[in-house]
Amino acid sequence: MPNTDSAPPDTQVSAANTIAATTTGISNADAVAINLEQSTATLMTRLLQSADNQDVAGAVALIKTTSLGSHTSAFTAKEATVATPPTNPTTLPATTGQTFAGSGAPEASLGAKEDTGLTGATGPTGAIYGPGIAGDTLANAQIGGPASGASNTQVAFKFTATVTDTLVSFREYWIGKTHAGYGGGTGGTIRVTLQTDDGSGFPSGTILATKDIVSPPDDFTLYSFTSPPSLTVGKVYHLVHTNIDASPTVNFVSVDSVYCYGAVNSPRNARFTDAEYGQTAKYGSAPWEVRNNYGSAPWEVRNNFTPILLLTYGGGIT
Amino acid sequence: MLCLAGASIPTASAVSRLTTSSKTALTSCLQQEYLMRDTYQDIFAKYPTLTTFGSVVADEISMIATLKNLYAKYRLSAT
Repeated sequence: MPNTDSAPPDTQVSAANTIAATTTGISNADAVAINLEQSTATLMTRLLQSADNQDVAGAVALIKTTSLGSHTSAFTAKEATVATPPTNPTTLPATTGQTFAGSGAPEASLGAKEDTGLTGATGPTGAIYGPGIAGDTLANAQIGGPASGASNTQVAFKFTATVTDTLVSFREYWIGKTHAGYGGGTGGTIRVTLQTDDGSGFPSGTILATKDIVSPPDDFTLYSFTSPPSLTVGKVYHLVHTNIDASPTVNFVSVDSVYCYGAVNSPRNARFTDAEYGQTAKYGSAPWEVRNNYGSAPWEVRNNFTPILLLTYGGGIT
Repeated sequence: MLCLAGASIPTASAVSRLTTSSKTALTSCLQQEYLMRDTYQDIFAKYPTLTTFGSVVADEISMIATLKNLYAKYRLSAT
């Protein structure tokens, strides 16, 4: 049982009281929280530059992701609810008779719980109740490497373009060759290709852009495409990681993702449908499969993984 | 619950000392989590109908526990 008493004490009580005091009512409480979450994300971005330890960098990244993701989303949704109350309840759109017991058809204009995905590529359309991204821990996926037992393991991050624009760069969480179990040998050379979707949620083999990374270092390096590919809003793409080293089971690294323990839910995350965002893997010459469980069977479905991925488009949107 | 335990935690043999920069980063993380937890607790106490704050406080408490475990893992002291 770890002794956790060695951590520094809370010195933020006074500052917290000061911030909380700026809340003048329910109407601005969420705005105060959003501001704090944004400040936290900015601080974490700065700390990522100095955190040279894998565990610490992982914690920093997780805090940043949570601040920008589920927490900001939760407060934003609540803020929208508070800020735009109906001026006249009698003008609310008529429903088609749905009840709390579930009878009747839903009124389309009301939206639905967790209706914030990219469906229709129009962005969030409703509220999420609870975190938008589900995660219990971090978990790595070897690119190549011996874990799967296959001759070479490819890992792909599936995403849906949020704008029609060029994709300039990507940033992921890498764990390099010096960390036993995560990497080995020279680290290999990882070829990252941007591929179109085959229509069933897996890479098609049609390559739009390529980036070769020799012996990838730890953590969150930003990689840019020499010739940025053009993406179309609402379309699904895949960043495919392939170890092109001559001995990929010996010379390899890992990419880290958010991981949920236990049974697989669908959707995996409230923020995205499974079709919009996820992780797939390919073992040797076998077909692609959705990754849902980090285990021993090379053909096990693995839905529990959510990629850690930052994309930057030509227009500056991330 | 957010935590770093599990598949990505190195084995005990992989534990090493943190550099000053990582220790500083870890401390900054912990203090920022304290700040968010305390702030949201204050607001939630004042406006208990804003249940989002209660949910987020639970996340912050979980993250604080995770960070404290890193202090224990790397045998860091508060000073």
